[in-house]
Amino acid sequence: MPVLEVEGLVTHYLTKQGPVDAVSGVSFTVDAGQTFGLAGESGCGKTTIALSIMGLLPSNGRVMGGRIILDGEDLLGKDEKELREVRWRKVSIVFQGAMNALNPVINVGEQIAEVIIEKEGVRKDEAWNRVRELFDLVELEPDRVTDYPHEFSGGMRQRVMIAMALANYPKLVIADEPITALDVIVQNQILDLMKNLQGRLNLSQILITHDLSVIAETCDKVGIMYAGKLMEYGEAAPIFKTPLHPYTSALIGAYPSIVGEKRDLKFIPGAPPNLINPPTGCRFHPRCPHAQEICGQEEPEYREESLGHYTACHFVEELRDTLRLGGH
Amino acid sequence: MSEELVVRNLKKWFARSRGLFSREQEYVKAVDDISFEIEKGQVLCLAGESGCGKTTTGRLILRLVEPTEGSVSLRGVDIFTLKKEELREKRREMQMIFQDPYESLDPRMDVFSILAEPLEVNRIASGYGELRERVHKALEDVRLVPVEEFIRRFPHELSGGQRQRVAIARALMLEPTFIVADEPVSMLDASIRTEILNLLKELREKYDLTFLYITHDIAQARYVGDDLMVMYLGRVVEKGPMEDVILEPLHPYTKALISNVPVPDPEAQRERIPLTGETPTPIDLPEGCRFHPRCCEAGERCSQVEPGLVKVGNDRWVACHVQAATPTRANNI
Repeated sequence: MPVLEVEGLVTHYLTKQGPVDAVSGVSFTVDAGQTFGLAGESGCGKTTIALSIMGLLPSNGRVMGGRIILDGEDLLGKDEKELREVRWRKVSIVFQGAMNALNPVINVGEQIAEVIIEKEGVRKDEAWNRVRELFDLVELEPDRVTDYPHEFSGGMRQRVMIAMALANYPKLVIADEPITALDVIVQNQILDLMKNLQGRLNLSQILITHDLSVIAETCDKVGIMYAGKLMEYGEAAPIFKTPLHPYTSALIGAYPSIVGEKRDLKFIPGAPPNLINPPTGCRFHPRCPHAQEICGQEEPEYREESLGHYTACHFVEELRDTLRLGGH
Repeated sequence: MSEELVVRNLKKWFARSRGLFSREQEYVKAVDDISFEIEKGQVLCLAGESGCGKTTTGRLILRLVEPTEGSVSLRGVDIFTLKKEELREKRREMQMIFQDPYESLDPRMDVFSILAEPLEVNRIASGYGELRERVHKALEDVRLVPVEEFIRRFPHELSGGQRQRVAIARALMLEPTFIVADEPVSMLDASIRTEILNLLKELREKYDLTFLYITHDIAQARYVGDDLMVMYLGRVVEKGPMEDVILEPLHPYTKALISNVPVPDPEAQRERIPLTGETPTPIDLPEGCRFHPRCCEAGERCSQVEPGLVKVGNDRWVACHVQAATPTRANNI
């Protein structure tokens, strides 16, 4: 049973130079209790998808088409007041820089209690009790609820953010680069915590990160984004083992690893396109080592190649063995 | 083989007062008595978590900060004994590449001026013709070609990867032999990161450069480095040949650190060694081994005596009472 269905989402940013086609027809589902990983380089549209779901796009951002169905309700038909009911109560978000997301002059407990009071209309002492429970849940000492953000370490602040995201018992938590600025050991402590909470609270999660290794280790399903489109989408294991899209294969090939034979890494030449004027045909074709004439002319169809494994490439069959063998 | 860099008993304690009205001083022991050397043409990776002292070590080696104690010799010359003018001369041999090229490049200078500046300041080029020629060559070296397309651009007109190439070109302008690279690709996306790492590898071969490569990312260290040195709270806990340390880390901290590095394979079966808590600040350091409060192998001695870095095998060094006491295993490496 999917908690979230995103269908054909199109989001633009209106700029003086013209509309930026930031998200261009993206579809995916997140099942109950599962983690969906959204990966890709800076500017590929990962965060825009998150903000579109939350209804928190900046003032020049517009959802131009598609459907976002959360727990049976279409979010795009809702006005701001109705959205406010959904935000935090059904879906919440954990941002990257916990230091910037918290108010430095208000103690953290108060910041969380505020969200609870506003959304649930409960009494103050009730809200504070809940804050203590939440602290316990994210493995922080409940006595520290009255501490200020600077009194916590980076990892602890991220726990505070998670506590805040869970304050109204949402079904879905979107974590946008939640561990990027942290050291690996603390990263894993946070990922373990999220995994643990997911099991206990039957939470669904969208994990947005540029780090494929983290996706590989934590996600059930994966979407690989490039220039506003999903290049490939499906279960994590087959995508890492037998990628069907040249971009996925190239991205994995650019990652150093501490296991296995030490190998030469290949990079993807060039840079992602400007999305005011995206390339014709397949958006990856200017950088694709396997591109042929048709790739610049016709957009490949986004198709289910095997059960639940989607991609959009003109040469899926021809490249199947090349990409599997790591011939990025 | 000759030693390019020799570091002996290097210390940097930052003094700060205990409180607003207190006269008492306390010390942040950012770097606390470390010694190592790098052979010519080698890349030594210095890894560890935030606050372990790796960046301070890099800055000390270039004498961007003055040490509390210790010596750093670059090609036989102790740089801490040099006078201002001599140091400026010596600095031509050693350069630094920083994490954030946004901050290290002057936004008001175009690429040409950025690259020409070190030559002008050191009065190296014999005229505009030579200046131009050397700037062109540097841009070709870092593959910012066609050169004409980039030479008049300003930093904000370049992508992150291109800016870091300019920073690398600038570091190479004075033909240094030794480079400290402090997280040079941490701000970049994966594919661009790899492009820059491959470029550094190529330049290293071409100019026979020696590197101290500072990173928090062990997978990246493995890709670029010959040797690995791990720091924890201002101390070196382990060092040795890269593959040996990664395949069989000896110090309990290195073991935990390496086991926590994520790998891009959903089916990899790896056992993670959890560490509780976070690294404390290097102010009120624990007695004995600095890592003992978080160490699962710690014995009684570990909380009493601080272990020194001792040789336990072929080029392998570790600062751990438990490991040093089991030499048979280490000697088999």
